[in-house]
Amino acid sequence: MRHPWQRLLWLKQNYPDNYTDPAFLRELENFKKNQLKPHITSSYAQVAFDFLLFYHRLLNTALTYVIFSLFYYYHYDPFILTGSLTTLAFIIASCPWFRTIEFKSSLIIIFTMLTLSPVLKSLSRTTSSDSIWTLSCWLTVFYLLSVYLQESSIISTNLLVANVAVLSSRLNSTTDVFCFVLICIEVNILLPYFEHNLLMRKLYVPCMVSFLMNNVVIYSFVTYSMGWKYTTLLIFFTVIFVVVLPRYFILWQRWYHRGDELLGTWDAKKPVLD
Amino acid sequence: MKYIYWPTHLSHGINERAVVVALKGQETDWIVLSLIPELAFDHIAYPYFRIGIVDEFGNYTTELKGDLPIIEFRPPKLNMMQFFSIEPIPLILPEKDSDIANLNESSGVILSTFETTHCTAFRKSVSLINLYYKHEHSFRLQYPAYDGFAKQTIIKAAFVRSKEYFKSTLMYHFICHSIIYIVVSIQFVANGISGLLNCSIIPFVNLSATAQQIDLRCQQLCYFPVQYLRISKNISFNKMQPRHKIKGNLPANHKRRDSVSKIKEFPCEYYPDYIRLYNTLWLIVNDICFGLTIGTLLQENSKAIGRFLHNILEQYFYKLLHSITIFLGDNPFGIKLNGELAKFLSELFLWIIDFSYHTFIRDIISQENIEWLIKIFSCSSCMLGVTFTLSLIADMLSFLSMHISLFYFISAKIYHWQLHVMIALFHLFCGKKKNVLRNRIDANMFQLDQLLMGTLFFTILVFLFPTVSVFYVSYTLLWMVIVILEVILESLMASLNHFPLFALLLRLKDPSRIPGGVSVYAQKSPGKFVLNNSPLTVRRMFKPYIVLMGIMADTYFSSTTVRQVLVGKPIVVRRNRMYQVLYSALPRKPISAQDLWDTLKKAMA
Amino acid sequence: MGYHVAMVCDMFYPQLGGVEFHIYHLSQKLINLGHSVVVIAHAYDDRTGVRYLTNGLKVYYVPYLVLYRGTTFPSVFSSFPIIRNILIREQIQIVHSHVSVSSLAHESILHANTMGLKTVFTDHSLYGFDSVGSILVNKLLKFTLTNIDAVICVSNTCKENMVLRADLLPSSISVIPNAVVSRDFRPSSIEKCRKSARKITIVVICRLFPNKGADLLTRMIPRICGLDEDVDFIIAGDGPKFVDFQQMIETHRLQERVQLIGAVQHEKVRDVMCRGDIYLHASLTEAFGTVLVEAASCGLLIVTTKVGGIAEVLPEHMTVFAENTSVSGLVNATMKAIGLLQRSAINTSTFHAEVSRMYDWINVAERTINVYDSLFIERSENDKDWIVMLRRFYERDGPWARLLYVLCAVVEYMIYLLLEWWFPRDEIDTARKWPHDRD
Repeated sequence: MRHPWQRLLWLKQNYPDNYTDPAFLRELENFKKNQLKPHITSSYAQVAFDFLLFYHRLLNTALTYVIFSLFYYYHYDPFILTGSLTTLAFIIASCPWFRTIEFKSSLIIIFTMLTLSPVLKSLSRTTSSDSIWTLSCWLTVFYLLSVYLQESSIISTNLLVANVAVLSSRLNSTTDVFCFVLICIEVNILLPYFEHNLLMRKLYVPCMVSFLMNNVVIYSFVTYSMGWKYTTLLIFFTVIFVVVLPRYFILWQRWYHRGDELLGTWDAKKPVLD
Repeated sequence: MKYIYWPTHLSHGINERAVVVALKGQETDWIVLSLIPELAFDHIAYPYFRIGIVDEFGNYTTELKGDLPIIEFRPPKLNMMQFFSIEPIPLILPEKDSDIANLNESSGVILSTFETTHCTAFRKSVSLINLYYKHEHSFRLQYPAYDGFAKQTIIKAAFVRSKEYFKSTLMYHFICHSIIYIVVSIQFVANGISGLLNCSIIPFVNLSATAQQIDLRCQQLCYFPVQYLRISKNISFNKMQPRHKIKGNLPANHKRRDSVSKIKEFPCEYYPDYIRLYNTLWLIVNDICFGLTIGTLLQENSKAIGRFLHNILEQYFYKLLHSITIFLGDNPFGIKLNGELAKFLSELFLWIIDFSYHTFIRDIISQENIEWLIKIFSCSSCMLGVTFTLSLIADMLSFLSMHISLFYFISAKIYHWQLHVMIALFHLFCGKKKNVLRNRIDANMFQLDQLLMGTLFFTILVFLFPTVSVFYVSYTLLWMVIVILEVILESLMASLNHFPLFALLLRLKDPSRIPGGVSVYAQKSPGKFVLNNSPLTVRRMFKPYIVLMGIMADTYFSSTTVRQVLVGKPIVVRRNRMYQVLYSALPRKPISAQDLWDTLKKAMA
Repeated sequence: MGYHVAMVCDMFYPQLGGVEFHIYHLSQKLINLGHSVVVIAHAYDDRTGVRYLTNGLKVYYVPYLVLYRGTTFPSVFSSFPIIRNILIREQIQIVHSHVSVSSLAHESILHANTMGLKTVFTDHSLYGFDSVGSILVNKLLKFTLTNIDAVICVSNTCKENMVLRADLLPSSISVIPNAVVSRDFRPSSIEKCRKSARKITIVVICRLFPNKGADLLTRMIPRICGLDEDVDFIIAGDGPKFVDFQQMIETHRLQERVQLIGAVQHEKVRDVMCRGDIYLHASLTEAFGTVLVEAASCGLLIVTTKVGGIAEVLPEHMTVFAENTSVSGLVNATMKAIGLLQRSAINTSTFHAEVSRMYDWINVAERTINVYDSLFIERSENDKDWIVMLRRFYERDGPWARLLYVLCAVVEYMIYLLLEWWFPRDEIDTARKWPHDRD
């Protein structure tokens, strides 16, 4: 009578070396059967919501260009816009829930930017406009990538500021530069931070408001500057992105996903740092 | 194992049976002194031994235990200053040797590890061989019976007597004293000047090549009397008889030790001094000879040279710099620099150029002044030697290129500062900061406002970096050109000041006067060897130069230098550290006037 | 007459590590058993060409483009001429490759199959399925292991991992564990003179990487130090987390109790182990865990996480397992082990003898030879037929990958034909074997 096989290496057992754990063979069979069945997928709403968030971030980034065009092409007076936005930001920031930045340090940042805006303006003056547009485009692409790949905000902040610095050399006056930098920081750093905070607290209404505002600004600007044709096109792409792409993702997940808890057996375990 | 050392002149020309007489000290080998016809031989006492017999055909039969190998040698002529030495003789002072060894790690210990008893025996035997003629002479004096012509010639005796008479006259004393006073006062002045130039508050020697040249000459002046005394003491010692004859009343064992050990010391110790002194003197004479030639050439062509120099200097120290700086300020090579910063830097440097040009460069390089300077150069060259002129030129060059060095240091400072800040900010982006206490990079959490500020500054610095580095690179290159010119001038000076000319010529004339070790070859017949003197290698003579080349390569062309340049740390040349290698024939501290006075007095008494 | 075996791996002496020692000891024992073994590795700095190690173990250091420290530039075909030359020169019958991240190992399996030689592959580590890097490695493994004759894994966990990664039949994979030279890991001969019976020293020897549980260690050490005054730590090893350990020591002021000694040479590991009573292992993934066997052989009680193949390695009475990979789990396990030692409820002095009976390189070599034997017994003649192999490649993977596989294989065959024509087989001298007098 042979002893039953034990899953131990130190024990000399009367089994060949290529003997396989019967339990594993059963698991393997199950795994292979499961592979042929459609997989359980994530909920459509969740996926769509994630796509929506990304879309929102895209719009946020696009705001940088909207503001830039307002100052650069339309010679818009920067004071009203900046003043109103900054006041809003201060009101929000002094609200006890969202104490993101100290009042003192925000003043310091503002004054630093005030001092540095002439420098920023002249920083890449000698470079031709074409190079600036190209550079700015690539910086934006990298910025978007870094926002979604990197967990820490350091690199994305860096890329954003670089983009702003590059663009600000095209503006007409130092005031424009200052206002542009300030608005960009408010829209692209403080606003996402604020929204993130809201989402964590499950306060969806203000988020919706800011999302709608964003849309209104972008679409009205596109209509104003390029006409209805482009707006329609943009809306078409938006719908595809927000409605159709999540569908496709779920389809893909159902039929091609190979995930199984068996495969997770060999991943490095997550350390629980309690 | 013992050996018999056999002088070559005793191995032939014998046509009767003879007794071989050899000298042997404690722990040494036998050194054959003389062959005495067997019939005439009576007896001999310590330290001489009878060790065997040579027959009519020159065949040697030993009377010692064992068949000892014979090593033939050509006895060094003392009056020709020939001698054997196991180690290469030092052309540099022994106390400086360690300095050079420290700087140049490759030259390690050669012999000390093999220092066994056998080696000591060999060393002592070589000392005996060096004094071969002396010992032979004293042997003949002691046993005149074996030798027919052991008496001083009459002329020599008369010379000695007249010299002694002269020494007793008043005139001689007067001359001696006045010479001592003159020597000591010259030494005092030279010592003072050298001390002044080397003073710790403003070390002129570091700043100017001329000061270095003056310092070198002063130190050499200070050292001459000392060197001369050493050599002359040696010569007077040479005149003395071997001790054991005079001190006959000492106990036997004392006498024994004295007899061999007292004589053996002098040759190796003092001949290098002799070589060093005459090398220095010769170099000075040489220097002045060159100086006369060059000085005359300068004098005759001063007009043409003046015109040429004026154009060249004007062109390179003003016009070229001016155009380069303007070029850099205006998008050089189509590189889009930051306009404002480039303009600012370019204007700053232009201002410095104009300022220095109008304050001194213009005046110095005007036609008349240059001609006047050339006259000074030619005069100094005629009087003080060509090295002095070279040093003046080098100083002039560094003075005229002061604004270039200034540019280099300013741009290096800015560059270094910017790089440093950028690195610090880069750490901030990675969420890290440098821990100065532990000298490592620590993780750190930053506030949003800190991050924002850092990002803003970093972006600005990144955009400004190309501008600063373009300026830095161009001025570093310019400064390098000047430095290379100076290095060439200074190496020329160094070679004129410290070239081992005398030693080289000695090597050509009589290689056995500068022994660089000994070599033993086997002869055809078994048990016979030849002891040869191998002269000092040329490489060893130029050792200080090789070390200097190493240091120069280290300072100017090493990877550390490249790194320094990349980081923007200014490269500082400490001239005295570099050239101290070449001061190797001078003591570290010049002798004080008081000491010299005492020594001279003693020497005269 | 023994087999002519070529061990192929990018990692070999002068680099030191688990895999390197495995190859070295296995080769030594195979040579002792009368087989002829050569090792093929890539060149390390000026170490190129042929070298001999102990016992006439011949090592070919192939001068390749070295990509990064241990691995060569993956160039699929460029190594073919020289590998073919070596294999013919040494009259190799079996090519035994090691490690799935070694490109040299993969390439030589491909070349050996093309040349009709038997191929064996040993894997030493576990890979996940969720990162880009491991997906690439798995694809590569699937390609090269298509025509492999036998695969060896160091533990059952490793074997199961391999079955899924390379899509192999479970029966084609043998499990042969690593071993230790128990002679080199003796407990200290002098009876431990502890300052008091309660004083316990815990040893940690591992590279300080995140997947070795460095984060767990930095958090649990202060807690244990707080719980028991009589526990000291010795931490050996270097890595990116070294600074974290320094910071941990400084923030909790444990300079007196935690000794951070940096990287330790392999021959000193035993001395470090002998200074302690408990060996602590917080790794998050592990195929076998040779270091555990070494520590047990030195007479240390083992505290470890239960991940990968660790559970199979040592018997229950030598180990205290943490219930999960959490700080509190590890702390509980460590406190339990400390309690056991302080109450003298466990006798660690017998560990050495037990371990030396369990793991032995001779045993490993004999089992490896069994695998070699099976290659020549069971297989049919046309096993290494090109058409058969090509068909296997085609049946292997997804619609795009299979075409790529077939393309690579066809190019490989063409290169082989070219080489046979250009450097004919009979113009290559065969190497003389190292003389062995077997008494």
